[in-house]
Amino acid sequence: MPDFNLDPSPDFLDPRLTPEFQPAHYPLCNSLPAPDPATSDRHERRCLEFLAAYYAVNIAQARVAETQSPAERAVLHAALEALEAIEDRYAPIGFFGEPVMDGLSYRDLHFARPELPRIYQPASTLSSHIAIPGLEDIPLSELTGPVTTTRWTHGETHP
Amino acid sequence: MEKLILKNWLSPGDIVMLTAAVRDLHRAYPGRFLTDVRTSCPALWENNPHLTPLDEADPTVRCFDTHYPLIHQSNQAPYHFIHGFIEHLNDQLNLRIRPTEFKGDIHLSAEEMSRPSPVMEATGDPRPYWVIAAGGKYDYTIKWWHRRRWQAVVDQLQDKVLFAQVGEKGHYHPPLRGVVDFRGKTTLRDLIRLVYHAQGVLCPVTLHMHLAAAVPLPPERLRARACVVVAGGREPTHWEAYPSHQFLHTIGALDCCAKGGCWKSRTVPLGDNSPLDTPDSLCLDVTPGGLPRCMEMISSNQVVTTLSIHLDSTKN
Repeated sequence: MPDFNLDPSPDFLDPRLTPEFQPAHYPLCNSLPAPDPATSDRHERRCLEFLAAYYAVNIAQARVAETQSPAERAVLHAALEALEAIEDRYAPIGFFGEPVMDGLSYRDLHFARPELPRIYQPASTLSSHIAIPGLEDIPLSELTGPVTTTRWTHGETHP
Repeated sequence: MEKLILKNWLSPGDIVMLTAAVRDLHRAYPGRFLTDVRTSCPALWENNPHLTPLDEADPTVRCFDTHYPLIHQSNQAPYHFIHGFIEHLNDQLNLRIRPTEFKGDIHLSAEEMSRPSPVMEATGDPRPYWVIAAGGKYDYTIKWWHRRRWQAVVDQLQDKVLFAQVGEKGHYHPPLRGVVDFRGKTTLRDLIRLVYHAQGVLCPVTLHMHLAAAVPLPPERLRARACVVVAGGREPTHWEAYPSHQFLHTIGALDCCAKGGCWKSRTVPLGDNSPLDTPDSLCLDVTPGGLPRCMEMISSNQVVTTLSIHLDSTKN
């Protein structure tokens, strides 16, 4: 079986720690500022990897828009490939960032932090809904007036 | 009349199978039982004519946890999932229920059937569409196909098929380009209505394939609702597949599913302390790309070709 390293790389460099960092191109994380670069939380470190990849795409996209140069297009292409590589790497565990765009720029990433899977669903307080025989024979045109829903659970009705 | 409350807290796909058992119980023994249910998915029972409100505190009511132990014979015995709850009821209640239809029993109200499709309501687009579920829950990740492959199917069929992507919020459903996005936007009833109007369903082994069979057809539809299931080698074909579905499987093609489904849970450990992370629950043959070998063997071209069989037929 291949060895899947699903931990963020120890060599990962947070772009916020680089001198050329441009905050305007760095996406939000779940609509909030990104976790601290020094976080040791594995989920947060994975988020930082995605944020950095999208940041690189934003930077490259902005340069392409500004210069239209083939060289910058190549940089953008490489940034998109790097982003896809990260998405592929984490696909077996279903971890990904869902981007929110603003024009051509990625402004926010939404990450799911799955709960521990539940083999059994939580018990519902509702039992079921029942059909009322004959109701569907009444023409829709005659079903006028306010709608009242009555639910019943465990033998009791609740308006 | 014997009064039964049937209980089950499993996932929606399982509950769809329970609806079949309740239907067939009443067909086998008309007038003998009053039945009510307590399940994880009340929405699947809306409009169901076989339910009667019963009180668990009523001493004349028998409450009954439903199971499908038949699954443990699924690799050897010629049974479908639809037999699962039925055989358990037969064993526990000394009955002789038989399946009467090869599908679950989902009911829509006249109002639900008369409304335009959710796609039409959301986009105004009147074209026929297919429902696509390109992911699943985090419990059985071994059922997942690769997001790039789902996307390749959508891309290859972009001029022929309008896809409506569905998926529960919090589950793994990476966004697809070029689809109508219903992820996290549907209730279970919305999903049923979405399937009701759909020309077909494309999914892994999951709730949606059971709904494709169980949700009734619109009156004008002559042919069964199409469904292409990207299944791999986890489940025995005869246990899951429906007659009109295209069930893409690899049973018999790999050592790990040589004579039946492997019934493993995950491709790689998620590290969430779930018992599904234990070594005996993990895929035995994972490709370098991170897919179970059996899922890797199913190509996007194969899915496109299979789905395309239905593109002319679904005009009806």
